[in-house]
Amino acid sequence: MRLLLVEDNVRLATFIQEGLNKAGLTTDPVHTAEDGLAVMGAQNYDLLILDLGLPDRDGLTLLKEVRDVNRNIPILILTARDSLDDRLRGLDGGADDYLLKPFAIEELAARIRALLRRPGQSLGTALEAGNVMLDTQTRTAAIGDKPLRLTRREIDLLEQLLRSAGQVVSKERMEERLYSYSDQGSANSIEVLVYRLRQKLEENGASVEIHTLRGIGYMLADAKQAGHG
Amino acid sequence: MGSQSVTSVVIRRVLVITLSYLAILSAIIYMQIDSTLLLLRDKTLVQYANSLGSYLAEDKKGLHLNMPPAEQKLYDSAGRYYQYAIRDTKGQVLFESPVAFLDHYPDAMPDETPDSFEFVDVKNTLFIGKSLRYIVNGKPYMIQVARSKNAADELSRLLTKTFMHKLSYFGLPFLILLAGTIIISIRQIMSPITRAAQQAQRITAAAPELRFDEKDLPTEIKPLVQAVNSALDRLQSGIAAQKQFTANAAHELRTPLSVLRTHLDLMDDRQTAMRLIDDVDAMTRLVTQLLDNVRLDSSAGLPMERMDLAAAVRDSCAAVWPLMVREGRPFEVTGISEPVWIRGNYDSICRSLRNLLENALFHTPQRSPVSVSLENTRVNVSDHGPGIPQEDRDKIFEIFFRKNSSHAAGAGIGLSIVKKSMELHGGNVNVTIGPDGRGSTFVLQFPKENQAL
Repeated sequence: MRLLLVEDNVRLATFIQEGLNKAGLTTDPVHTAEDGLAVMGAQNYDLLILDLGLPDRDGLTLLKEVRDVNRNIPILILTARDSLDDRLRGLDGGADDYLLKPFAIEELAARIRALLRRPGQSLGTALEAGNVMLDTQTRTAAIGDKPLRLTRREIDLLEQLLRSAGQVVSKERMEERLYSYSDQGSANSIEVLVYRLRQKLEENGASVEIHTLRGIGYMLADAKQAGHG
Repeated sequence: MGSQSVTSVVIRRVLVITLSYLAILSAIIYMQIDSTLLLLRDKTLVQYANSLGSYLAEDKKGLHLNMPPAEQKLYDSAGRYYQYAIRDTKGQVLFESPVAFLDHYPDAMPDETPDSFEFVDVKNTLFIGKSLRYIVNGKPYMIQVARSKNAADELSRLLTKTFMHKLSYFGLPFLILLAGTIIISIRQIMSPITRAAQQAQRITAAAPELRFDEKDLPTEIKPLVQAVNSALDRLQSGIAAQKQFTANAAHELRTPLSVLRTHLDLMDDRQTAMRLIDDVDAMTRLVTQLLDNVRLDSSAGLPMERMDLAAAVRDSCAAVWPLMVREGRPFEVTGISEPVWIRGNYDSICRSLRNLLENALFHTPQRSPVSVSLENTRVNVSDHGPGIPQEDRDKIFEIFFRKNSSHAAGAGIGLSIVKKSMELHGGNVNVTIGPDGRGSTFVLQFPKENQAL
């Protein structure tokens, strides 16, 4: 696992590198588009974090150049521009996700994890939130030290939620991911699945729970509590 | 004076001037006819006198008047129209018409040029006449011819009537043709200006790159249009500069905030870090609002398109939901299962909703519920906070309004942004008491006719 960070602000790059390293994501920072392209030629990276406001090249141009070199690498763009236009242009230009500055490193790490799930990408094995852990290789889950018995579908669901922990996963996206090819889930099968997983997490003393917002989606977050957690 | 079409003013003026001059011309012609008739009358009298003279012949028996019968008739009508007298130098009447008011005739022999005379008979008819000296065989005679003025007037009236009749016969089509020609040529002359006006309507904030066509413009207008075009050039670059500024400002402000934010994420003292992160978040929000405000004020306007209001509500709620969960707030969103199509700016509507939802987060106690409902083209955002006193309900939408300056969150920009955006959408925002009698409900009402079915 190796990520490349192209960010011209040296201090910001350093903090991001440090934060991601803490989260188990090894990151190489460079500060110019030139360096970024050079390093990408020399080494295989699993994901690119790209600041759109680079001094030596327009971010969208660079995005296109990177896509020309490597079609598959997931790209997450960091930008200070918050208009919908800018966001859409970034995504249309070949980026996979978009994060507006300023952001929490936790959020950045969560987005990176979600992106690394893309097909064809190898990924580190352990996912965790609170005391809930999932080994994506062995497909086993645990709460604290206690193993948690889950069905195959429940493991899939938990993986999706863990990859986007603290973020909203829409019901549509969840259906897409869980019932992708062969079987068509009935309208409420996701709801049933979520209900069962929520029960199991609660019964086994998980510190996170599945929150549901009707019409919007699901989110794995700390069990209801006030204040920042 | 209200605004008027230059074309119609010019056409009206030219028509009025032309018609006035035509009327004056007609009057002059009319008067000319009168004076010409007068002249003609005088000449006729002299001519008659001369021809009477030419009928005079002297032989051994004396002087004879050999008038042809056709001419005699002229003097037969009881002297009402024409009468004459032929006298010798002593004033003795030698010949006269059947009726001749000789008492009124002058006695003096005229010299080389004929004399004119006038008199009124017992019936009050005006007569005019000519006295003429005529030489026959070396002897001078005085020939006097008179005629009632009525006769002359009769002729004059007839002539004038015929003239006016002809004039109306030819004149009316002529006038219509003249007016038509004037109108068409003025329209033609004005057409480049009309075209420029039509072009001006197309130049909007959405299409700032359009310019006036400078071709075929009259030289009086061309400098004006060129000046406007160059002003538009400057305006367009001004808009571009403003957009660039917004982008740059966003970058310049957000990057240091990112440095601060990520740095705080790495701090060991989590308690202090969390408090500072709240401050950074507040500053971030302020930056966003300032930029939103610049964007809404910019002359670039707000591009509108057909959009799903339900999707905007869903996206905005999804974005704040993690914060709601973190604060342990019950959060409910209703009415978004079916799309609601309106004409609007998606980005701006999401920003407005975000502002309202963040307000609910910052101004109401933790754990208190927040709900959002979509009904037709109306979005309600309700909280269970302290509510907003009646007297402040309008003021809170003014920029930089804050109930008390020590209040923690927000600089009072958010709601003014919401108001501005709603006005640009042709809708409005207001605040009422919450549905169960406490807290506040902010209502975004988009116009019904805005609804794109």
